[in-house]
Amino acid sequence: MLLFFGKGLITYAADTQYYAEKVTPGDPMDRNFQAVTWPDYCDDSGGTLIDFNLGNSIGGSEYVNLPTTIVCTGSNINWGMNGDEVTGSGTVYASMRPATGGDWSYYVTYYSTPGVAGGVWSTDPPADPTCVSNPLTRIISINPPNGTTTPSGAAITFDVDGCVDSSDIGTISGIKVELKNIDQNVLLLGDSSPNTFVLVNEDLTVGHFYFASTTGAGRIPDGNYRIRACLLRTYFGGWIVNNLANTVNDGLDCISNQFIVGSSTFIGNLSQNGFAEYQDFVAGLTATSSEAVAATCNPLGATFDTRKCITFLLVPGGDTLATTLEGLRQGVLIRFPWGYGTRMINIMSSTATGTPPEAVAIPVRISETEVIDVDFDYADLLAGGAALLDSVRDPFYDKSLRDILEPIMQLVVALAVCFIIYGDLMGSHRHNSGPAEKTGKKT
Amino acid sequence: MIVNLILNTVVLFVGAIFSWLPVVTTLPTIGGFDIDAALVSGMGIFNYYCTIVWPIHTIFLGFLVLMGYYTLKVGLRVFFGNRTPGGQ
Repeated sequence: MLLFFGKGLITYAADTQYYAEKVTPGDPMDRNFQAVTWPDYCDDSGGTLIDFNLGNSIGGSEYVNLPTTIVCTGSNINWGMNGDEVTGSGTVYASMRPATGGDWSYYVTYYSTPGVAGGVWSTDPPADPTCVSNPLTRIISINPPNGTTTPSGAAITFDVDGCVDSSDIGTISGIKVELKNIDQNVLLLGDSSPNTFVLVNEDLTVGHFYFASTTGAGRIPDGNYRIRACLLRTYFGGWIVNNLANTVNDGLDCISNQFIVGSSTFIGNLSQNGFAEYQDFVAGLTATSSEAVAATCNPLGATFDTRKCITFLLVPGGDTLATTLEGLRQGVLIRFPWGYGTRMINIMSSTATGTPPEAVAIPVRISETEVIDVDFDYADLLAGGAALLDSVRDPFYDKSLRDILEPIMQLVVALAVCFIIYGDLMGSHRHNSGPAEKTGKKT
Repeated sequence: MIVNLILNTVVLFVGAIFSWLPVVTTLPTIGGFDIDAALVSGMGIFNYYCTIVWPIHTIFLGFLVLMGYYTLKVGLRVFFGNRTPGGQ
């Protein structure tokens, strides 16, 4: 993500100019602008690219990948983690972090149309994003909120806000979301964030991830539902994706929300109430409180419960398991001589990108007396080709070639790896070629 | 708690055995050639190309998993010898 300073000009329509201007929280604003409604450019797959086309920018133009997904629902535009709906004279803003590091910056976007009177700036610049004031790695919130009841047939949007501390960058590989119909015990949605999820591929600590929405024929029927989002942690350079400890909602890596659509059912209510009671207790299990264990596991105590006691004693918490694995890494894996292998694995599994070599100048003779240098920046050629290829999308589902083929390719590669490992374990490639043994007796 | 205690004890015990070994932070420099810097730079450029030519990234991840399995198998063979799963 490239750095953006000052005021940028974005041109989408022929006569409407869009602006993004850096602001400082707490400073009074004195600008007028029209109420912002974003144009038809909506991207719910990972963000929006805006060409600011600054004259003094690096490389001629600046692209800022906004740390959010935009939910295209008419005039309701959500930006970043603390975006507001824009109606009348409201504000729309995005919070961004420079690629070179540093503090979060805030940018307000607005547009003005020639010949149309500007609106009035109605609010102060936004407060710090949640992750800046509290950068603890966690799932911040899931929509729909817990305990809500939506009308029958209403459109529902499923999205997640998460926060990743800088020390966990590279450990968190994504977010997994599951939506379950409790009445029918059916898993309706099980999805993980794609590789382009900005939460882990950029040097950011915050992300808003949009998963799905129910509209039209896709509306979910009445009943009781549970949606769960978990941060996927990786260990040993990504070789192990931690789902082991995410069996309980610890309020950090995993949280669940329960909601009702239309009318609820008796069985669904029972399940939701029981689940809520269990989660209230389990959420407190990650606290290293010996008093809590003693109270629960004391058969003479008022709060004694065998099930809860066994759960607390045997089920490892996600954060404690992470601490144990970190101890293994520090105590064993980085020691000489196998530490060289660990170091090489860490390098090979890192996701940091580097700067490709500079353009190559090839001398070309254009006449008998004149030779010119023709520059070939193959990195730019590749990037341009990739952008062109990615811009070719299915007109009905708005899917690019990568969106369609990448999951299939990941499946094929994963199956191939599994079969190779299985074949090696079973030794199926080895044959017994020794001579038959004689069994006759000697007399 | 119990599982955590067992895991922590095992890790602590194993860590104590190898605590006398030096810590490796970077790959060595041999003959003036910094292997660590070269590998970091090379992987950075490779990751950049993987963002463009995405199939390579998927195949490379599979390769890493497979190499991890073989490395783990070699490590187990040190302790278990011929009793290592997978035979020879």
